[in-house]
Formats: sequence, C-alpha cells, structure tokens
Amino acid sequence: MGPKLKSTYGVDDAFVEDVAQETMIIVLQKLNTFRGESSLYTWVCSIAVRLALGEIRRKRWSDQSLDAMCADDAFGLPSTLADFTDRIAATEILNIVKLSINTALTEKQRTALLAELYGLTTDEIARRFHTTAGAIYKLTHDARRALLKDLRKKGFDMEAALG
Amino acid sequence: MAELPEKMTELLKLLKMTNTTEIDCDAFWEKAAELSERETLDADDLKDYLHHLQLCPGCAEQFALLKAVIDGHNDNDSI
Repeated sequence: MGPKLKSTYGVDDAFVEDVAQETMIIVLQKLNTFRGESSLYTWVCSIAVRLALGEIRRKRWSDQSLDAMCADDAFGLPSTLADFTDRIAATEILNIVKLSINTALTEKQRTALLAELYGLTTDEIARRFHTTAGAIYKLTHDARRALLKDLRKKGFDMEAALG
Repeated sequence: MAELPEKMTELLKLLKMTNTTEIDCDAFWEKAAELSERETLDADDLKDYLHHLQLCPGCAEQFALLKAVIDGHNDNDSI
C-alpha cells in the first residue's frame, strides 16, 4: 500500500510509516470486530486507507476555515452569461434555492452542506465538528431532504432547472 | 435552459439523487473491505452501497484507493 500512497499522493516514507503504526494500533483495538467477511489483509487495508486519506485531507484543508467558505458566495452567476433571458431564469432559480437554504436548514446543516459542495469530505467536516463521518453524512442527508421538501412546497421544478 | 453556477448545478444533482433512506459513511465502511473484494457493485443487494459512493466523494476516493491496493495485491499474488 505504501508505494500506491506515494505514487498517488506524493507522501514520503515517514508518512507511510506513521500510517502503518497507527493502523496497527487500531487493528489491535478492533480485532475482535473482524467478522471474516473479507480477508484479514483487505480489512487491515480498509483501516489504513481511511487513516491515510484522513491525514492527507487534514493537511490539504488545514488553512481553510468553514466560516470563510460559507461566507463566500458559492452561487454567483457566471460572468459569461450574456443572454438576458438566461440571466433572468438563472437568477430566479438561484433566489428560490438560496431562500430555501437560508430558511429550511439549520445553521449546522447549512455549513456542512456548503462545505461538502466546496469539496470537503465528510470525514474532514466531521473532524472540524468533533464528530463522526456517519453523523455528518446524516446531517447533510437531513439537509438535502429538508431542502427538497421545501423546494417541492414552493413548486420548484428540478428537472427544468437541471435541463 | 438557464446556465447555473457550477456549485448550484452540483447541489441540484445531489438533491435529485437524494433518497429517503441512505447508508452513511460509517455503515459503508463496515462493509467496505468485503465490497472491495467483489468484481462489481451492480448486484441488487449492493445498490445502496453504490448509491452512497455516488453521493459521497470522500468515500468514493477512499474506496477507489482501497480497491486499487487490493487489486494490485491480488495481481502480485497471481504472478
């Protein structure tokens, strides 16, 4: 796995060694949960992969704050949009969705969903929220459902918006 | 069709794919090792796991790496 990590993510030997050590600690802690549904090698690799990418992402996003991401306007209209009718139609869609984001979601749901749109993975958002990736997935899933419900209530036509 | 900002289009696509019940990341990784040894995730009983990968780029990236490591290991074994 080390060579794959190095060739794909450009990490060094020290990084690979740290991941290997951390993996061994977790494997020893969780060995009693291994159900034999895969080979032991695969199971150990599944733990190592999560640890390795978690660390790589933590470094990748370390200088980005969630607040700054959410303050930025992710939904600005493209400057290339010259056609007046298109601009009106796009503005209408944006306004409806933005209103739903601001009224139908909790602050936490809004932050997690926007962070996800900016490319932060659930495990990285979880690290910042001091929770698990599963809990963040549930949070964003609830956010998507709440948005959908609100948009449907407003008669929003998803198919038409996406073309 | 109106040209929308990229992030808005991404959000609408995510909403379109949203199901009432979905597998979360922790549940996916409970089964990821077993799934990575499969040839394909097209089977009916695995569609929820495949759906999770389509909605969760983080898990998709991790799973692709796991699959590459396992496939590489198996290729070396078969030589």
